[in-house]
Amino acid sequence: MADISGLVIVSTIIFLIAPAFIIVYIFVYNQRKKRHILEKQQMQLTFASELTKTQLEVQEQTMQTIGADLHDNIGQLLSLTSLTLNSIELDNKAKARQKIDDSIDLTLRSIKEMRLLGHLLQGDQLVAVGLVEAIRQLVSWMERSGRFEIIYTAGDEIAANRNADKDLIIFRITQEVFNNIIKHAAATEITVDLDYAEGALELRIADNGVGFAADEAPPARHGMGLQNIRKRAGIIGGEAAIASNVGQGTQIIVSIPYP
Amino acid sequence: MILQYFTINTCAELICLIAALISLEKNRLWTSWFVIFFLFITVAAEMAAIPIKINYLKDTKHNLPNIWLYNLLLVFQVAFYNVIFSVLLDKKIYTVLILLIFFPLLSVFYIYEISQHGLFEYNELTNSIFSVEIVLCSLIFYYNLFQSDANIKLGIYPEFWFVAGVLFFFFGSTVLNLFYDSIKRILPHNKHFVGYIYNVLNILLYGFWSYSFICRKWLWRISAA
Repeated sequence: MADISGLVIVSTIIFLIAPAFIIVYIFVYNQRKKRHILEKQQMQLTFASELTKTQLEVQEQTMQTIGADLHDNIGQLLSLTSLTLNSIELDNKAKARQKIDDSIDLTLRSIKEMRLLGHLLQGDQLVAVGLVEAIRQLVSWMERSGRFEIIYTAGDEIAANRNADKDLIIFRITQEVFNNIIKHAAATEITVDLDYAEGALELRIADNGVGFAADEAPPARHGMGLQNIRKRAGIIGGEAAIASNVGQGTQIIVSIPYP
Repeated sequence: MILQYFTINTCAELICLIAALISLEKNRLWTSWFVIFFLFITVAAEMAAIPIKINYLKDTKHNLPNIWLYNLLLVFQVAFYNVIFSVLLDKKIYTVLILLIFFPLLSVFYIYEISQHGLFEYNELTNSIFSVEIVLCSLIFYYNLFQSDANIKLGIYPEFWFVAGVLFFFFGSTVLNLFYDSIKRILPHNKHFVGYIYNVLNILLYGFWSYSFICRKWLWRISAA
């Protein structure tokens, strides 16, 4: 008699432990799930704030470029036009004709410069023009200085698969790499490749500039810094590889899952 | 004399009924009234079973003189849990598992058992199948909760605690259902420990339910606000 009652009681206790275990397990799992959700929300917030920051940086960079261009280039051209027009002597028709022609030429150059600046502003509107076109505007602006020979190639597939957030960050990285080239590389040739294959976008920018020892810490003067380029690529799940040697130029490869 | 009506089981049920009445007083949900109705039926049946048992204690023909009441109560229990799980489970799972499999199965076995031994014998098979159904439904509910992406505060989630009570009771009573024949044969007049086990299971069931009603009325609402 004691045997069967003992057996039933022990078995019942075991059968009660099972649901208790299930409930505790669900509790623990739910806590982890909540932590994971919070971490995800935090990451989304960080991503959103980085995007806003990048958007502002892109705008700031564009405005700085436009400001400098207006002052150094278009401003000079228009001043020269004004001086030329002022110096026209209506009595001397032949000379006046020459000066008017010079003024027309200067005005046309100003218009051309203004158009390029306009394109640069369009490049800022990434959503409207797309990454391929935005980088093309950036390349056109770089080329017009006459200091660089730039070869730009972009895959056709990229336009069909777009991700506006990632485009913005890639554009900002490109902008900053160009900035570094202008300021520090002393390069004459630049190659820009934008390729899309198997769900990944690869941006390769190579120059023939002075380079630096990639094994050592890069010089602090390198603008927003190579670390920041890596960090930005990391935010969108990608990575940036930087290869450089003193006197052998620099190559930056940014690979990003896309779209 | 009146104290004989207040056993551990009836007290647990009464406390739960009071908790349900207080907590769900202004709640317009039909499920709330349904739970109150079921608890009322349960308390009434349990209380009615006490004098029947005392008055018919000398009944030598039937081993369990008040079991017919529990066999009738089983119909309400099946109806109640099947309706409650229709709210807690996904419609597709509910239709297949309960409406197409378990409900017809339970109906057939209930009618079969009653036709075999009448109302004065325990519907052991129907009870066992019913336990399996409820345990399965509870586990499916937890599985869905497990898979859900929603950020739920389980500590104050009423449905979670309601099902916890159900799972404890039905999983815990599985052994009693399985050994019912052996217990009846070996210990026909000495089954006090069965009563004690049911006391513990009832305290767990109605304790969790009471807490679930409290969560529904106060904690969950405050949290949601």
